[in-house]
Amino acid sequence: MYLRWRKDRMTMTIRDLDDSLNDYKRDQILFNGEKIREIFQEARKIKEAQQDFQRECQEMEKQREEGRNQTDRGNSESPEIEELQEEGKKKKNETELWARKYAPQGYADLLSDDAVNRNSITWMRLWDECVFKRRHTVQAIESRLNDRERMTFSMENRFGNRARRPHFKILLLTGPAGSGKTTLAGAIARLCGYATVELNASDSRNAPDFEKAIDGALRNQYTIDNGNKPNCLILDEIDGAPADAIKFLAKTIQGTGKKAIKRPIIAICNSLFTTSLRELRPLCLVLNVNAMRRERLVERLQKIAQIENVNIDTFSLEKLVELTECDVRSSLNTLQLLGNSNQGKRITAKQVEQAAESSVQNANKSLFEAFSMVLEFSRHLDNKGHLFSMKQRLQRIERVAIDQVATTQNYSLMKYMIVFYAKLHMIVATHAKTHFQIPQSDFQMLQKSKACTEVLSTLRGSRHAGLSALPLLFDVYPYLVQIVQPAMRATNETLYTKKEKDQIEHTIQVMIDYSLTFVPTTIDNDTKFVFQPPIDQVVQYPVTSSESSGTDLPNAARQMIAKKIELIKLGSSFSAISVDDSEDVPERSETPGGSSRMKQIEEQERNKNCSRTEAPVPETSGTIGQVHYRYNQGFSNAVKKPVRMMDLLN
Amino acid sequence: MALWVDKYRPREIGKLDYNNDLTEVLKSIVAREDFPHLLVYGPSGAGKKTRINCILKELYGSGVERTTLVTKTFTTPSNRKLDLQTVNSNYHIELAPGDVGNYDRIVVQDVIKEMAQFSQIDSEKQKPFKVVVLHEVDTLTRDAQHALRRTMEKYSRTCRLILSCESLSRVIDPLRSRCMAVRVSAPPTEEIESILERVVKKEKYDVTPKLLMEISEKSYGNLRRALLMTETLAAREQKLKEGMTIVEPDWELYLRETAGMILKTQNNETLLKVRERLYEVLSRCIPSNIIFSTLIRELLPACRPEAKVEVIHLAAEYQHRLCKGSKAIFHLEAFVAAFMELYCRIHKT
Repeated sequence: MYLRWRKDRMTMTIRDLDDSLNDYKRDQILFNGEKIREIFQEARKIKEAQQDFQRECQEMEKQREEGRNQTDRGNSESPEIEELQEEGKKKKNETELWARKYAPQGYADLLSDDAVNRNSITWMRLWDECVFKRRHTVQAIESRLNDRERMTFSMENRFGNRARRPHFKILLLTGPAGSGKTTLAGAIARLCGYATVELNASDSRNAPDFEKAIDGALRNQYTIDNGNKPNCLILDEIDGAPADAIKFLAKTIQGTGKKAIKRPIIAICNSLFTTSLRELRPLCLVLNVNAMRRERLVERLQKIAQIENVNIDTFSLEKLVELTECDVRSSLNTLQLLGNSNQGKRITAKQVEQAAESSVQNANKSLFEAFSMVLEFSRHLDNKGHLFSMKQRLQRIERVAIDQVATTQNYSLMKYMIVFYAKLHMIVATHAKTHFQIPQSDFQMLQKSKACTEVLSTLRGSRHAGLSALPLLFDVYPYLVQIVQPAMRATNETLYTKKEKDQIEHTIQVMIDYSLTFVPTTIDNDTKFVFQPPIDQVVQYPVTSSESSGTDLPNAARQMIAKKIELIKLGSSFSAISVDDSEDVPERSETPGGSSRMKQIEEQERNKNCSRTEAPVPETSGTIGQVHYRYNQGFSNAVKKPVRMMDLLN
Repeated sequence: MALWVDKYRPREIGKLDYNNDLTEVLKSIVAREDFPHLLVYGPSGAGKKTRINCILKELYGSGVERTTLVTKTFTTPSNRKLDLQTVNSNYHIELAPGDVGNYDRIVVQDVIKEMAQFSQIDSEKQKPFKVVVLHEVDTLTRDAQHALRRTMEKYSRTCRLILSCESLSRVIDPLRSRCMAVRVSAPPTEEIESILERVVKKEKYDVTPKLLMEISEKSYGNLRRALLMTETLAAREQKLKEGMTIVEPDWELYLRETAGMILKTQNNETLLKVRERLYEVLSRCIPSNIIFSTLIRELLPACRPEAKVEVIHLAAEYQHRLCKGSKAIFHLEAFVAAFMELYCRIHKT
């Protein structure tokens, strides 16, 4: 798959290069035509070489299938090397990928980290009780573990006499490409006596496919052609599977009773933190297969080189391992390519570098690396530390530009992309190291403006706000925030003068009209009352000049206002006002604010009630006083006194 | 009805304060049996909405004031759900279809069709048509405007439109020709002064005429803003006297400060700081064309006469690019950079 994709891309870029060549010839844009054509022709040669290599790889893969039956498994025991060399010579013309040919057979051959190997095999053995009905192995394992490990490798609780299964039903191996995850999975499954059933990206993987695979492999006792071995399901490249399939998987492994899965599942992924894996992650035993130790890989490569009769020294091998970033697969592939093309001649470090660069490096360069290729001279130094000639530099940049940076979809313009990067390099390349950061501010702006739009749309839910948004935002809200925060003395509620009370009344009315209120919010262990919806965050800017010196309402006043708004909203504003006034009797006569407010509300209520009828009910604001309440119970006539409703409310 | 703006808004056609000629015209329109489609235009804060409400009241009586806020849901052909808030009464519906961006065409068609399909319940007593009020028509896309022109004719028997916008230039010709255009001009300063005085007196605040004059001058003919300014000042101090700093909206102050920074030093650091500030303004939903015009208003007076033409040219060019592009920050910053360069060139030689 990968090879084919790579090849397609290659041909596309070459076609583009041709196009751009013609265009340049016509346009003579940046450099003189001769020179640029020279550059591009050379670049094309490199591309073609690369393409040939890819094709070769593909052929190898095709022949791999046929070759599998004939080849002997290479074993790395030293006494046999002589013998194997003979064999290697015999089969000189046969091609099988070495990565496949020298795949580890036993536990001792595994290149990955010992701890990971041990842990995974321990987990595998935990299934013995369920699969092979061997209780003693599990007990043996449990006795060996320390406390922390016991947590990881715990078993299910025992129900009656049923065989227990491990707590984690799935082993999830993660790690970079070529670190031996698939190999490890296969090896431990075989070691523990299972037959492997593999499901990878080349199979279709919808939820039904998963179901079929799980049903077939795990629930059935034995499949016919695997002899007496139980199955172990290996889900390769699971991070590429569709989310619903993974959801299904997560659901399945949680099944109990008859639906419980009875065989181990090993899942393999490159990046653990793919979104689709979110549900699966807590259900798995996650083992991190890191890139392997360099010395270990070099040692193995040396052995293979010896067997395959490739003439290469340790230094070059180290270089190769470094360039491939300890990727076993790609280092073996490169070694094979070099061995085939050199036919017994000595392979130099330089050749290694070329081969590795063409096959590996471009493929996994990040955007940042691509840009530093353009912007730093240090990326363009030869062995002796001299800067390459301009031609060579442009060549390399062109490769980067096509491979990595050109991600827009406007293909007709793509041929000009290279010119931009070439020019960028010519103008700004430096010796210093460049640090790249993806700019955050735009994203932050987007987030913030989303929040602001949300606030504004909430505000518009109020009836008085009207419909056109812009005048509100430009004129009304900036002032509104200040109007509802009048200058007030910080004093007890009861000590306000009439005018101040009116002002508070007014503030409350305005805030209700525009559906604003204050809510308590804890900021730094301190409870503050803030606007809800947070209108101040939308309309108040960090202006430095003294011109807009809007006073902030003190917290206590905000709390009071919030309380009153709440009461009015609950419709129990009457009691609130009566409580306010009952404290200080002398002031009672001069507080018509409360009663007038009540009348207003009463009126509003009435309007609401009669809104269905066509003509409004005639003005009857005085009716409240006509309801009489007579206290008619009790032991003594002394307390019997006609009380008007008005007095109770006031 | 607590904000002075809402509280003292005239609710009947007879009580409108200024533009008396216009008031007469409106009266005669309403009095006639046949009511045309109206296109009300004029600057912000001149009283368009007040007049529309007065007209509605005159047409249908006080029943039109009993409104409910309804959130309507529309489905686009691509199956996206849109929400739009409308103000409904038995007789009319108000909406600002510019809010839904590119999908405004569907909204316009749906709403008008829905309105027009049901004729007035009691057509004997009432006018035989309902009214659709569309706010901010100049933000409508071309598509929506073209859709309007067909529906306007088709359903004119049962449905009349009142369109309102700030400027006619973005309303297509066919729409203009189908409507009776009514310009609501901003009130002159004296008029604003007298209105302010009346309001302040009713609210029982003391005020000096000089302060009122200052306020009405600073409001640039925007009566809404003038009233809000006065009320803000009243919220701060018990007595309104001259010498008080008149409050302007924060976003304008912020942009003025930004313009000051641009004029003070022209280098990379300033540009970066300006970028931060532009982001700040953009993130609070101020449209980019308003940012452009405010910046220009602040920058122009500081330029030499020979540079002014060029500055305006620059602004026009970058604003045009902004209309074509999608990321406002690029074009705003490009304009600032270009202005800095120009300013350096002309003023330092």
